[in-house]
Amino acid sequence: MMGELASLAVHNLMRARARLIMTAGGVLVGTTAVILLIALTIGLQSAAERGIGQNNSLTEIQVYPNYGMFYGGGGGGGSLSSETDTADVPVLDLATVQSFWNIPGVAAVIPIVELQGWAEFISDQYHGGGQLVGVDPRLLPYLGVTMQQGELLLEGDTILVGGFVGQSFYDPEAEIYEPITIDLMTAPLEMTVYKGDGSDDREFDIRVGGVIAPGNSYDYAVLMPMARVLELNEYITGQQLDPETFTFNRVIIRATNRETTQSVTEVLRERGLNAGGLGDFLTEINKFFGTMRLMLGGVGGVALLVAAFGVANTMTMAILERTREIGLMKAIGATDRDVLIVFLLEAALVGILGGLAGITAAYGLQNLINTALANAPQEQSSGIMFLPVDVSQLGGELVVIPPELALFALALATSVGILAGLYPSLRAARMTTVTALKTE
Amino acid sequence: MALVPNLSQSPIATDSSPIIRAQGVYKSYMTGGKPLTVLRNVSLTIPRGQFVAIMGPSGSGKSTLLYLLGGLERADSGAISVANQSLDAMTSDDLAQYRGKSIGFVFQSFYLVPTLNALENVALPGIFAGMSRDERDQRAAKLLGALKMSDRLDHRPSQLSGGQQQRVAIARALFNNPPIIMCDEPTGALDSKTGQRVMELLSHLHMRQGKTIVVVTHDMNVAQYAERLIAIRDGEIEDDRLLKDAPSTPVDEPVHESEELNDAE
Repeated sequence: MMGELASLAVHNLMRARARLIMTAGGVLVGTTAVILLIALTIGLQSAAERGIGQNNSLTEIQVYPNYGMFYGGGGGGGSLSSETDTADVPVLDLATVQSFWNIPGVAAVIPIVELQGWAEFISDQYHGGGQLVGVDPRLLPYLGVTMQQGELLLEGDTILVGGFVGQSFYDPEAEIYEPITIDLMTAPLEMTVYKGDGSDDREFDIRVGGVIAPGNSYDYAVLMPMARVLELNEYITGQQLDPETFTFNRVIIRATNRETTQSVTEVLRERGLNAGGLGDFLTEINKFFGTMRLMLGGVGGVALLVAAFGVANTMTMAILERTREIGLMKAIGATDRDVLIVFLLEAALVGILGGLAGITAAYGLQNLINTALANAPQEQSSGIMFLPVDVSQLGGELVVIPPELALFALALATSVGILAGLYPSLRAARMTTVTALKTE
Repeated sequence: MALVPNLSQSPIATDSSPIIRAQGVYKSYMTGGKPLTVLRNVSLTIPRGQFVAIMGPSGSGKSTLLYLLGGLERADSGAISVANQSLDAMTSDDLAQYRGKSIGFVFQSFYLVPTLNALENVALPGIFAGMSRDERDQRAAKLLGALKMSDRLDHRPSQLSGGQQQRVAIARALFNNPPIIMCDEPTGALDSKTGQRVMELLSHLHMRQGKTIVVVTHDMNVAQYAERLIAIRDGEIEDDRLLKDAPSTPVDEPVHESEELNDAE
């Protein structure tokens, strides 16, 4: 029965082809607008996410003691401090850090000790620096980094350097600062560590065991075995390490996934610790793009709303023109419901046709825009300055249409057709048979 | 012939079982804010298989009476029953079903769907009766064949003459094989010769298949084909008389199986 009514609806649509094309054309424009504008925010958002960091960075939580409360703004680097008489203020002591393993969603707990002073790297006449941190060599695999050169391994006097450390050397004799790139894997390298009061320094021969691939929070870091950093700190501060009062500078926690990153962060904050990471930033970014998507989707929605009036107008006209036919259908046995279904199906089909054409047009425009963008000169494509997006990260994918978006748009276009056709169809269904038949 | 008569169509039952019964029917319309009574206290009984002409000047209420009997409209008061079913109590869906199954309508201006060909127009009632496409097409082709329209199946109404269009409309009226055919000025849009042929066709359906036929007309030439003449004036039955006797030995067979029907041409 439904199929029979549907074929009648199709027939009715085909009898006014020009009008069908124009009405469906309105839906096409609206659907294309909705898809493209939302696809634009999706493309920008994923570009922004790529700019923020790789997936591994997003499950990383940096945990600091609450400096503001504890040290009264006394700055960082008090890991050998003896002020431990503050049981209610959380510190990153051994027991606390150990307890992090019990938080659900934690994949790894990586305590970090920072150098308490200044270390300088010297290769021939060039000087360089980096953020020297001590890490347990056994926990290296949990850092979530990949190696550009060498191996992810710390033994003996080797160090691992971030991807940008070797590019940040300079010549102290030069009149103008100019960054010089050193191949740290092969160049001879010395490290100078200065005592805290500046009274003394020590030089070490250093061997770089590997370079971490750039694009994460270790780009300017120099990784050393924790034991060596602790030794250096004893030298710098002139104080013996006391296991009873020792606290870590920070702890890197790796969560099992993006969702647990959020929940673990919250648990840590409830314990009074400073916890956060790129995931937080990403959440903000997502909020921003969520709002943007609603706004731009709304703009597309307006176009679709206009199309809805077009559909309503067409259906109203069709019903006026076919009034006698409606009367005839009823006279030969059509129920009100049959008439309603036939007209609603017609309206829905206008929506479906317009929606399908709109999806096709959107995919076509997607290719066009992305190809144009990929081929555009760099200066021109950097025009999108108001967005937190690194245009170089777009990779020719400014417009991204996921299949779900296309399906959503089709459903939306169909609903627009049905809703716009509802009132005219109800009018047709409720017509009095004789009145309809006698209409000229 | 079967020993047991088919009561639904056999005119043997003509005199004993009324198929249409109206009692004290009133109907008025609102025109310019004032009610205009179109039918007042109309009562009539039509036996199964009778060919009835309802005559009267325009505005007499004759068409309204037909619409009420055909379930296209509801009476303000009074009782109408057809084949022992009361139309007054029916829901609008019931009425639609009643119109589809029990009545075949033939109108003055044919009311063919201009974009459908003859076959599709005839098959239209099958859509709302839930028939499959094959079944519909087959049945429609048979009906049109019986009405000598086999070579016009794929013609649009605009490609057909008036007489041909009315034959398509009659085939459509016969599609669900209803016991009653109701015609509203069936020859009004046709020249007299074509009109005559249409009336011969209706008369044939009456004689050969025992269809109950109610024709509304203001044309005496049309009315003369009927067995009974009901005259209406100002919403009331003015005269009601038999013109001739019921056919003596009608043949009971569906129109699309009847070879003789072609003689009506």
